[in-house]
Amino acid sequence: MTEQAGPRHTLHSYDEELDHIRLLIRDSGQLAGRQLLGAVDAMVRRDFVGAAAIVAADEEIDRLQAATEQQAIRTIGRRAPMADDLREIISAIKIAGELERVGDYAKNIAKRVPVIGETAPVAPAVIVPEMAKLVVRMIDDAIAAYIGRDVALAKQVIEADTAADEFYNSLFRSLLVHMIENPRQTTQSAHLLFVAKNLERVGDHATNIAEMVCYTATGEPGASRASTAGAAYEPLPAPADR
Amino acid sequence: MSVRLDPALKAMAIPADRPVKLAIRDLEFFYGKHRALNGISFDIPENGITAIIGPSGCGKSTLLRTMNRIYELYPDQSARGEILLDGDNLLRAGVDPEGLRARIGMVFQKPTPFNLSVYDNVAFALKHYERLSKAETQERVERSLRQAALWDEVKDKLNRSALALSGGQQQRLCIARTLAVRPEVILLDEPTSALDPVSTARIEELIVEQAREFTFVIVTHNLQQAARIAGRTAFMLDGDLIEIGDHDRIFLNPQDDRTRDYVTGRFG
Repeated sequence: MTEQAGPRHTLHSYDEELDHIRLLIRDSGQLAGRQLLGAVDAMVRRDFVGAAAIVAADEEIDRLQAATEQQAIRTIGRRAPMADDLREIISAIKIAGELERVGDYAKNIAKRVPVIGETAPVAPAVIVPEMAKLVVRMIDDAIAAYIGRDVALAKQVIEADTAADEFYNSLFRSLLVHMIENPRQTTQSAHLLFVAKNLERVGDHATNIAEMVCYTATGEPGASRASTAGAAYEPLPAPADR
Repeated sequence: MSVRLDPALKAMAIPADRPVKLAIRDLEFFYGKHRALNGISFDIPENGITAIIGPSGCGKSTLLRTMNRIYELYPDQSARGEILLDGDNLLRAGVDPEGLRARIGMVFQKPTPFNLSVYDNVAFALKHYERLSKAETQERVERSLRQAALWDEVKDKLNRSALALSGGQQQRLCIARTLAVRPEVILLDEPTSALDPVSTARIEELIVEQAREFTFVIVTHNLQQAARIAGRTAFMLDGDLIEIGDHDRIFLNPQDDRTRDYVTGRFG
């Protein structure tokens, strides 16, 4: 896993420690993505048992975050890292925190499943799985960019956040109209609004991770805010805006 | 609200408007026919600490030994190019090496106290270079020992042999001896590599303290030491100067891959 970071360290065990941190981040990112998709899937299928399993599994992300922090602090203490090694380890601590928040959002969505699933589905809810797919892809790409120190991919993630925001705005408007027209589904709609907001926040966390990747690679804070040369994701079909 | 500055960086920083103390220009150095420095040029500002880092054999100690012409004590070694001390080329013929070494002092890796009393170790250099009264000498010895953060430990045993001191104390004594003749530049060749961490910290502390008055150039294998105390750090490799800059440039965001590989431990 170290080939992206140039030649190996003279001390091979140092490379192993850095690899270990990268693997912990990769596992956290994959689990956070699975949790999020699982929560939305449970919502769509009205699977209350599945939702409870998602809530329970959140502890695993918390455990991974603690393990990442512990390994990072140990490596800082042991190796006194310099330059991009130091930036990568500090970023890992922060990324683990971002992923822990993503896990919390998945858990929060899962907790709403019993309420949302109580009555007939709310029409605008059909957009939610698409939005979840987008933000999970952003997380996956942000983590892949971190592992491969891929600045171009990180910048694509940052650009994709606009699409996530548009999803949210569109869902917000749709749900408002739905609430006015279907007052008996106001409770469900309000919960769906929170689900949409949670997913929008996941996009923000993916963006934060992508910004850390740019910082790790370039050493310049805010480097990611410079003009993005890479193309954004292919445009997703615009959600129905009633 | 303004962002607070890192106090260590503030203390280490060498202001950009500080005059140049030593200007190295196209410096080459030869051991016989072997060229050890390949035409190096850079400026060392007045006061503050400039560190030179690099792997063994990169030419950093050679560079240091050129700055006070101590290499001339050895046969078959020669330098080409210029080292301007306050604008005057110290490598030119006609420069008195004795006078030069009073202006540019040097401390070596291993403590080199003379087999004399603590007091006489410091007074010896003074007698060699200056004519001072007994009272003036006493005053200067005490001041130098205080500057070297050694006074409190030796004030009651000034007449004891310097060889009875610990390694760290001996090295601080050597620094006191160097400071006593009030040089303008002090060259330090791995001054703490033979010392324990506490002695090392004491010496780093006194160097940082005295860098307000003296220009220090330190060669060190200890990257953390350079990161801790140097306002500017130069990285050398195979007789070339690769990169020079402040702490953040060299240790956090080096621009040259060779510097980055060295400071992160990806070397050899």
